[in-house]
Amino acid sequence: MEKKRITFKVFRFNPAVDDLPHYESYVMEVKKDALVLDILNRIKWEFDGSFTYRRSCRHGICGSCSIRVNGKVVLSCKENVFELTDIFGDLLVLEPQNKQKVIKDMVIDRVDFWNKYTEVKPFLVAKYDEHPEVEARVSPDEASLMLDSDICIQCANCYSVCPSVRVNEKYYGPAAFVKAYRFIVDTRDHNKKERIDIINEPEKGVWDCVKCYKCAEVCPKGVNPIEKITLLHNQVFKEGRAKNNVATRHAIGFKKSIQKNGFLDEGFLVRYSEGIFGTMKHLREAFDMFRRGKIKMPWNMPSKPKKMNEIKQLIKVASKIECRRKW
Amino acid sequence: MSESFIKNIPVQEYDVVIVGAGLAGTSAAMDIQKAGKKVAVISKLHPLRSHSGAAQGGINAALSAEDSPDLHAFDTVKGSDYLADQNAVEFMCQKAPETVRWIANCGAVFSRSSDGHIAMRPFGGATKPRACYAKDRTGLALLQTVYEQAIAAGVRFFSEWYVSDLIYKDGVTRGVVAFDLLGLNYTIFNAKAVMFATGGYARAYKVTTNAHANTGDGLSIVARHGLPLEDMEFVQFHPTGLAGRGILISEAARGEGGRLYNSEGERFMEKYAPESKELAPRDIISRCIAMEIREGRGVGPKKDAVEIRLMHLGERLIMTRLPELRDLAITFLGQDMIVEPVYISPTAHYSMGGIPCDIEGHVKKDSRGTIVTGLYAAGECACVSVHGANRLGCNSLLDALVFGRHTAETIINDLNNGTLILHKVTAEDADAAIGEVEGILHSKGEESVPVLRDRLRESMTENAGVFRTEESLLKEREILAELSERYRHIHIDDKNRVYNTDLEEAIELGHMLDYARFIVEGAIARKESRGAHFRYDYPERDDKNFLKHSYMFMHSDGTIKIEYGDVHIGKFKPKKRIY
Amino acid sequence: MKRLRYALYAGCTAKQSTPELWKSTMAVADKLGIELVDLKEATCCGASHLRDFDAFLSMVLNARNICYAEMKNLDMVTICNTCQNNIAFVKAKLDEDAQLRLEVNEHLAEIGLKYRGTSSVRHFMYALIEDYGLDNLAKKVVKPLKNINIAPFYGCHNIRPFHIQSGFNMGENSFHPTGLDNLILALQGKPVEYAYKNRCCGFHVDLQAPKTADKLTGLALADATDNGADMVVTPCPLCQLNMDVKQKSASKAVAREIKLPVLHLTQLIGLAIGINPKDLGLEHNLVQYGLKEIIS
Repeated sequence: MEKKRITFKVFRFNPAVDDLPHYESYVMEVKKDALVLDILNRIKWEFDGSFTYRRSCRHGICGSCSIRVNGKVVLSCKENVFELTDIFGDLLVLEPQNKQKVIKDMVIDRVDFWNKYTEVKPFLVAKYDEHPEVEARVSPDEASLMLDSDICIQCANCYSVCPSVRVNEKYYGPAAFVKAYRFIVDTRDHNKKERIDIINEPEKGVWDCVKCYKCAEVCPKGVNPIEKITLLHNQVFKEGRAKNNVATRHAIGFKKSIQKNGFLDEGFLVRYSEGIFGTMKHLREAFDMFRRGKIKMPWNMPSKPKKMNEIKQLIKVASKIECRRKW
Repeated sequence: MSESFIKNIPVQEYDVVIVGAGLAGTSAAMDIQKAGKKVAVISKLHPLRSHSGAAQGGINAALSAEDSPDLHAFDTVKGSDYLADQNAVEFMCQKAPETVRWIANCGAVFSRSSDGHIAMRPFGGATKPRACYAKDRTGLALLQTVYEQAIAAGVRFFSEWYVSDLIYKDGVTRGVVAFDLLGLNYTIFNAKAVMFATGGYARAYKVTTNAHANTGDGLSIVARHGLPLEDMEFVQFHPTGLAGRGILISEAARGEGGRLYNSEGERFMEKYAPESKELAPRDIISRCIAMEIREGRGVGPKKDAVEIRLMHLGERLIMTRLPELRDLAITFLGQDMIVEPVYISPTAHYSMGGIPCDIEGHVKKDSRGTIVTGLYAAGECACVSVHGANRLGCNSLLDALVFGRHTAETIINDLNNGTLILHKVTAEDADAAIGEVEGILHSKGEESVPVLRDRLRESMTENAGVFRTEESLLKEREILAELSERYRHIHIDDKNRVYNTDLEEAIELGHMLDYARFIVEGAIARKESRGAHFRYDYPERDDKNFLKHSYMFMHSDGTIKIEYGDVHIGKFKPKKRIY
Repeated sequence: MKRLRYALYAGCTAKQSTPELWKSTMAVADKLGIELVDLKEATCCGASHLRDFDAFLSMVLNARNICYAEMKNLDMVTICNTCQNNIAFVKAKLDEDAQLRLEVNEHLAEIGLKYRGTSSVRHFMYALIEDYGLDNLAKKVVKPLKNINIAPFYGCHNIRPFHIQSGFNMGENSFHPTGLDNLILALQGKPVEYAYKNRCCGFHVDLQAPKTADKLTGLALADATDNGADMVVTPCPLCQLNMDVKQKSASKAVAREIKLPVLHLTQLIGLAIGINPKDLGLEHNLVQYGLKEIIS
């Protein structure tokens, strides 16, 4: 089998002896079928027994062993080393999933992650018989919606790359939303409204998703969290739980503007989303922009698209939800 | 270790302490908590990392009109090569339908048939399709559900805590000694009842489906107190592990129609089991594969595997019912089952033996069934015995869930009727455990843990694997003796107290070396072939001498004494197994 | 070389808050002899926000947008990452899901249109790399960007989600993108290597979570600065807006004093191939700090 020499530059930190983290290099011959977890094992078993990481199932189902390789978050038992060297070359840097939360080497503190898991109430709320003679019926389609998100293994890959989590510690993050979604689409659950309200909260909820799609890139189980986040946004409106706030108006504003102009009127979007008071916050910026010719006045707005009637017609026939004039 | 440290060891008091947070432990904790008892679950992993989550294929229950608990029981007993206790099997199979429906109603997401009922598929050794499944990740679906309901109920979990000893004195159970991995701080958990749900022991083999964590700690902790282990010689080798890696390709692959071929393109199961072919029980298929390989009809660079072919099932079926398996074969072997065969070979998978238990979950201290006060066990670490000499696919999740919950019921009853009281502990009760751990932490020997462990696992696969002979087993006995001696002179690199997995691995190796002897001694003494235990020198089943459970006791000098106990035979009289 | 023609989906920003993007795109295309046919029938792509509110409508409107490129027998190019993300997303979904295509086409039939899937949807940057070629571009360079340290900022929506965008960006690896770096090299500039180059500027939560957006933009600008950047270049006008117009508040959010010009990709190319700065709309950029020295 094909082999090559690879240098692994490994993040090391043992709070009992180190003041600061440092990197150590390990050079080894690696076979083509080696996975990152094989390398972690070899470092511990062949080089230094004090090297520390979490692992258990070794086949991608327990979610313990995620680390970063050259910045890419990977579930180490499922990531082939040669595929990484194809991208990054023969020097691979192994680091913990989140350097800010290191306990020791690759082991990080996951308390915040698990707290958020709990905060979205990750359990079915339903009355059930202790000795049932029949099971609650679930159609294959309903089951498939749930199965799609029930395969999340809580590896926290998505959570650790989420920019919103990084700068806002209240934000639940993609994994918790996937969990929330899994119960929201469960027809047996009695708690739907409360669940939607949880993920609908400003700062914590789905409205703070920056739409970077990183969560979808790093999921080792193909869960595609951002797809679920979008569906949660849809649910908020569909179930009539949308609050009258800047985030929801930001979404509705697009449709309103397209309906009226065909294009997005940027000034309108800000005024509509923020309200009069909120718009004031942007005055300084607006002034700067105006000076640089970046703000269009009513008399020099871009022209509406041709065939505006088509657009209005499509909005009429294809809309799945109305812009209710509640606010 | 300074004396003051030992004196200051904190003591926490509980009604019940459960060791292990897989399906059995967590489901029991949930019921006990709901009954208003004070319960703690201690696990060396986060509960959701437990190996129950790795179960793929399904959970058995006779839900359909054409099926019955009786048929299920018959298949289970026949599959067990008649070594299972039939009262326990009947109980489990009777309980299966309501248990599966209950977990579904708790939230478990099963794949469904078009009418909205739980879907079922065929599995090896089953006369009817009764494997209820969630794609090919059934264990994950069930484990998540019990954990979710347990946190909803308010169960207290001690995650990443390592239990290093049972406090068992004067014939009564008093609790456990544990430490947190984070800081190596010892705590005594003083409890009226202790339940072990610590999982299986197939990690003693090199080629295994088991997680790194499945080091069977609970078994040797119990055995070191002079309590017996039962039927340890029975280790199931799953026929379809990914070649070289041992990673599990679920029996669901065969349940859905996968076929086995040798290097000559022959569907060889046709000649060994003309009726059920690939759906014969695991022990039989594993032996057939091993036979094909031994006789030179293997595939792959080392000719040490055979092919499983699923291409004829089509992409759609594979993607909806076996997506995880496809992913695994691609990750580990680069083989895409939609378009090409996958190389597989037998791999150590499941522990039929374990801590002897009665049907209520009480741990037994001898072959006559005398009960240990306050000690309970369930799941793979326990031997009730519902699997006998060979477990049928999809009966393990069922075993864990049925007996996990039933043991909880027993514990609740025993607490309510006053059988159990809190036997106070003293700091000295932790001396032995702390001595062992600190001893390893400060060890200065020259032997290396990974080297000894590799030797153990390689030799077990070689000498106590699918095929066994007197000669190979005696050789393994000697190897184990040598390794145990060398283990006394180990050293570890990591001398610190923070998240010391070097220490943890060393402790675990000690457990593996201890229980491996039970496997080998049981296998030496059992001069017959039954279920998963196959002796070349005694290829036939011998009901006259060995239709018996083995109970093995370890003496302080490491020698093992065996006594045999009766098998509970019910309505299914032992017959020759033909598939 | 055959004359390249594309249907241009300009998006709303290029015609409002980033007029310099419109100007520079047109000037560059003109200089390179590429014909861009403005899709005058096109609507706003709805960004991610319309999808959050009314996902199906977003699908139908963008299918219509593509239809107009198809009717002109032209491949579509976009000049905004978010437009690219949305329209390519719709195209990928329609091309893989026959049932959905049928449903969308039923609605399009109301206005006499039909989605066929014949036009590709690429960002202009990748059309340049793939069709025009970096070698050819390099030949057009008259003012090499020598000794300028340029931080490429890719923007999320041109490279993610990988399973969709990789079909339109020559399989760019989102963990380690190289397209923009190579483009800078072709213009003889020095690409700056920094961790934030493929990360998020937070634009899509500018209104509801300004602190998040400012901080993310600030972190990216700080990282570029710390790695020696003289300027940032991005193919996305939304990233550009956050990094340029909001540079002050972004700097404040990370407690730094950052002064870094942020150019649209087409402005950078324009400079290198000798287009007059005025025709590239450089006077519209807010951060002018050091820009003059760099140009001269």
